[in-house]
Parts: sequence; C-alpha cells; structure tokens
Amino acid sequence: MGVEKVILSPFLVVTKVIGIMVLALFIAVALTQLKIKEAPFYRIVFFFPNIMSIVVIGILWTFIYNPSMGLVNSGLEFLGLESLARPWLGSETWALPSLVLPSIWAGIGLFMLILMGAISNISKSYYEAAEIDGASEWQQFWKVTLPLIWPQIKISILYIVITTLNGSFIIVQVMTGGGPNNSTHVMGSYLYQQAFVQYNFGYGATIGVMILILSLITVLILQFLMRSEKTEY
Amino acid sequence: MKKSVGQILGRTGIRIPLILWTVAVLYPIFWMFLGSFKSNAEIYRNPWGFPETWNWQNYAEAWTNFNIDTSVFNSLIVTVLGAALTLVLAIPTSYAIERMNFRGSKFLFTLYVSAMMIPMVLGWIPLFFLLSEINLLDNIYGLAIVYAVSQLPFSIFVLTSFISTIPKSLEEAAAIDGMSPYRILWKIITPLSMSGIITVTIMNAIQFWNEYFMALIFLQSQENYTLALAIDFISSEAEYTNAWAHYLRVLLSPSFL
Repeated sequence: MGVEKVILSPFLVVTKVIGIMVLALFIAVALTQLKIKEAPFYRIVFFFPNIMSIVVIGILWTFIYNPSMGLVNSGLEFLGLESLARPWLGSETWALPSLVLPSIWAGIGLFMLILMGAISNISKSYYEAAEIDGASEWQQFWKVTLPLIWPQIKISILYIVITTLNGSFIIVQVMTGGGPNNSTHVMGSYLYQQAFVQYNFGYGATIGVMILILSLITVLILQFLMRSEKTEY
Repeated sequence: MKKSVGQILGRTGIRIPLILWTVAVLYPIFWMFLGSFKSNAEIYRNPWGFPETWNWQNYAEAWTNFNIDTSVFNSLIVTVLGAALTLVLAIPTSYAIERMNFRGSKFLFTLYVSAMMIPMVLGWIPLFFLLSEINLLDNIYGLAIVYAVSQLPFSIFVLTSFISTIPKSLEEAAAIDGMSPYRILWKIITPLSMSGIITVTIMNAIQFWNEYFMALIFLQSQENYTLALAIDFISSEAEYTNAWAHYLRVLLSPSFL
C-alpha cells in the first residue's frame, strides 16, 4: 500500500531537473555571454542558498508558506488575489508542488557555477566564426554553446536525479514530515517513518533496497537516453 | 558602430529575470532577519515592514531559553572530532593506496570509490542496530564516528589524487636518507598535500555541521541534540506555543556560521 506514495519521488525529480536546468542554463549564459557589468554580484547572490544548511532552508520556506503570515499568502493578498491564497503545505494537492520551489531555490547555485565554467571554456573563435557566418545570438546558443556544454549538462542532470532520489527526504522531513495525510512522502522519508517512527525495521530495510535498485535503474536509463557523440568543432 | 534600439532593449530585458531571481534569493533571508527583531504580535500584525523597535537583548534570551548553547557545543564536538577522525583514517589509507603497490591496492581503491555511490539511506537501519549493540546510540561521540566513516570514501578519493601529484623522487631521497615509511608520510606527504587536506576538511566540516538525518536517528535525548536537530525541534515547538519571533532569532544564528 505504500507503493503509490513512493511513486511521488519521480514528480520531484522531473520538476527539479527541468526547473534547475532551465534556470541555471539561462543564468549561466546570461552571466557569461552577455557582458553584464554586475555579473560577479549576481554570481555571489545566486550561490548564497548553497552555503545554507538544508534544514534552515526548509524551515525558512515553511515560514514563507505559512498560511497566516507567510510571504506567499500575504503577497497574494497584496496583489488582490486572495482567492489564490491557501494553506500551501497543509493541503494534500498543493503540498508536494510547494516543495519543488525551495529545492530549486536551494539547488541552482552549484549548477550555475558548473555550467558557467563549461561555457567560459568554449573558445571565443567559434562565436566569431558563427557571427561571420551570420548566425544570430539565438542560433549561436543552440548550435555552438549547447552542444559544447552537453557533457556538463548531462553530468548535472545525473547529479540532480541522484541527489533527489537519495537526498530530497531532508527537505520533505523538515517542511512537512511527509504529511498532510502522508501525501508528500518520498522514499527516504517513508523509510524513516516506517523504520524509526513505527519501528517496522524490516519494511524499512526493504524500502532501502528499493531505493538502491531504483536509483541504479534510473542512472542506467539516463545514461542510455542521453548518450551522444562528443561534439567537436 | 551604433547599437540598435532592439539590442539595448534586449540587454535590459535580460536583466529583469536576473533581478527578479536576486530578489527571490535575498528577500526571504532579509525577511527572516527583520522578523527576528519583532515581537510575536508584531509579526502577525505587520509581517512585511520594518520592526518598530529593534530588540537586541532577545537574541541572548533565545540563546539561553532554547538550550542553543548546549547544541552548538555538541555540534562543535561532532564536527571537530569527525573531521579529525576522517583525516587520521584517510591520509594513511590514501598514501598506502597510492604509493604502496601491495596486492589488491587497485581493488581497494575501486571499492572505496564505489562506496561513494551507495546512498547513505541504506546504512541507517544497520547502523542503528550496530550502534545500539555497542552502546554508542544517543551519544555524540558515536555520531562523530559514523560521520567520519561516512565521509571516508570521498576524502580518500580526493586525497589520493592530491598525493599522486607529489613527485616520487622526494620519497626516494628520504628513504635513502634512512626515513621510515611512517616518517615519510608524516614529514613529507602530509605537508606537501596540505592544500588537499584543507579542502577535504572544510568540505567535511560543512557536511558534519549541517547533517540532519543521521543525527535525527542516532540521537534521542534533547541534551545531545546537534544544532540542526535543535532548530527543527524548536520549530515544531513554536507551532504550538507561537514563539515565532524567538524562533526566528534562533534560526539566524546557524545559517551564517
């Protein structure tokens, strides 16, 4: 009966991968390619959540989602959208999507740095050649930047998937404790609840083995899907 | 060459999302900082604005009321002890794996590296029983040992690559001068791989300082709580007593340590 709860992990994985990769890629390209003067400032600020403890991040976001005084609801009220305000972490439908935002918020910094490092390693002559050939900035991004940083993107996606499968229970445990009504359990927090709250150690160990098998399978599938010949120009 | 209007617009347009994200990152932290100066009633009345009075002395109050001093001390012990233990175990191991070509040293290295891939989640239940068997459950020294061992594969992985960059001739010269392998390790290898050792120690210390889940499982009594646990405990406490303001004050302290 616990299986359908365990399936929730993929939701977090998919949304986190898309959210983090799109934002991190955008920020990395913007900060390296577009010659913005205050880029070092942004780089420091965006890396900031990465040095905070995940527990502190989780609790900070619990405050933000707090129904009566949190930023989200009072912000919606301020904009005159009171109908949209709701107890974010207290509703079964919205609790899990609400967990995605803090994870993205906390995760972007590292991948931004990885992608920025990759982009600044691309030789400038490729862009000059592309410009002479009349490629727009948009085309340059798709045809030059993206293929050349594909290995790093691949590593980042794998890393996000693995850390989400193995590590996202911390934020779940801190922010919702798996609730309301067990609707936000991912596998790690479910293991904790079964083994150390309800003392079903055998069942907990089974979940642990499931986690190992599932992450191995996921990594293998991803490796297979994202294989591509190394691009060289 | 003049820039076209479109290009200038594009340059400004690109900044809008960047600035929005900056706000999204900084504002919650700033909000937490402001909130820590407010009283409870004020947080509910006026969650957005600046506090009416800046109560500094409440920081001291929060520090003593919630036993934060004990948990900071516990966290310090666990972090220092764990990091030290990791080094004591990792430096000789990585030196042996890298330089002493004994039977199975390659295999041992592969074993250590593949241990990095195994999620820590799997270790919880066996470790729980192991610790309770040897009476180290609910004991910060036991936790420090678990931490040290859990970061050992990573530390060995990094240190081996640092040690492999040290030229072999230095060791050979020392050996000709009559140094024993242990003195070589202590007098030559350790000082020369100092930058690697410092990197590993910093990363381990951050990891130990912030670790939450193993502490949650292996520590049970409140006077043994590490900082991360204490914060979470107070947070569930605050839900019932409405001590939000106190609690925000507590929250600020570890995030910047």
